[in-house]
Amino acid sequence: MPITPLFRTRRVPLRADGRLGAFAIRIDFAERTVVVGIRGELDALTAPMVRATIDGLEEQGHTRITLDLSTVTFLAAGGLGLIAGTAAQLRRAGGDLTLRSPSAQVLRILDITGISGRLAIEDPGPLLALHADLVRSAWGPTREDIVDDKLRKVVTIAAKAIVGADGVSVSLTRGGRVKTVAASNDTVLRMDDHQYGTGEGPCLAAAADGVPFDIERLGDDERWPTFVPLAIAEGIASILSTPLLTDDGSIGALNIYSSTAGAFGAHQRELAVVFATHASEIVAGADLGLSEDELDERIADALQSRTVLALAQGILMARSQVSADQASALLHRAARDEGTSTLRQASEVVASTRGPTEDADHA
Amino acid sequence: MPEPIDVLERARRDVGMSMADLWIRYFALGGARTPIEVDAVLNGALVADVADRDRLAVALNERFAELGGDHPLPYDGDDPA
Repeated sequence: MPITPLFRTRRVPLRADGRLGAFAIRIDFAERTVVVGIRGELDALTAPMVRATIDGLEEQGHTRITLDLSTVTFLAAGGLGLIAGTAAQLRRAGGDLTLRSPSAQVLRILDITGISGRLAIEDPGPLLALHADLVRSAWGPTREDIVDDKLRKVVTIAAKAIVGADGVSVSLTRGGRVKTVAASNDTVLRMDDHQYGTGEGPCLAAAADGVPFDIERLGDDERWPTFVPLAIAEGIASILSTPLLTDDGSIGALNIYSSTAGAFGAHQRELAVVFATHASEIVAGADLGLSEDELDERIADALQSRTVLALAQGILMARSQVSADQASALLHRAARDEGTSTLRQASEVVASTRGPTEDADHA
Repeated sequence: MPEPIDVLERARRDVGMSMADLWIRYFALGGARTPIEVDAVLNGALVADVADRDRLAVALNERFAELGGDHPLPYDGDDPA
């Protein structure tokens, strides 16, 4: 094996005409494998370039190759042929091909065509990694110092998810005083402060009484004469404050502010309750009761299970000419009828396709 | 607390499964919605398609089965009992 520098990177420049301009190949020499990163569409037009790159590497004695598909935007038949052909070629040379980070869409195509079953696939795609991060943030072990961090994530997501919201905050009663622990912007932070300063307002009322306060039109409200003019001066026209409830009663409020009067309808009120429930679970230390390692292990198991299910789905789709959802439904029903789990059922489907070729090799 | 509207949420409480545990099982079954969205589905704030509702039903049914029970939740396309 020739000596090659580690982590050397070479970009292959290509013609900058429209579609091909977005295509690029990157080569990283890692310790045990050569990573070939592809950006753009992998099809009959671009596949030969990747093929030439891999042929070149093989000539230099590199037969363990990882194709990084994380930035492949589209995989066409030409790309499939490349992957299948390269895998066979490298196997004959005593090496192997690994696929890294295919998108869910690409993975689905590989599954349907049965190619994924003959290759090692590394790393969950970006979508899966995002989910894993979310579950860690929502339900990871609760330490005092990270509760506020999780609440900040909740207000950020809530501000994006609730149509009409210009800002979201979470206030908590701590040490007998209400204070803002997470705010999606400075205006909502000041809105909360105006309430603490004047000692009145919907946030304080929701936190104290444990019931939601929906102020459709701030200008018409007469309950909080000192606070309301300050809020209007900030450009706020409607407020929805939802209490954070636990078994021990109300512990604070989730506040949504809008510059539009009547911004919040039934849908927004329901979403507010969902986010408020999340926030109170975080504060109350609701988690899976798992250590970080155990949580990682469950997520790893779940990812493994997804892969097996996707494979079985692809096999059933090809075998029975059904859609992806119909294939899932077949697995669910078979598992129920046979008193087994969906994962076990899927494993059996995958196992049923192995056999003849491998037996022939051992003969 | 008011009686939950959604049959999935009632089943989740019956079987004593946390929202987090349900989400991990749903995710393992190929679900792609976020934890917060799953929470929203169970609380009636978001409507899920039949494939996602089936995954949630499977996750709950398999927990019922682990505890020695039956599969109480129907799947899409089942004959109404």
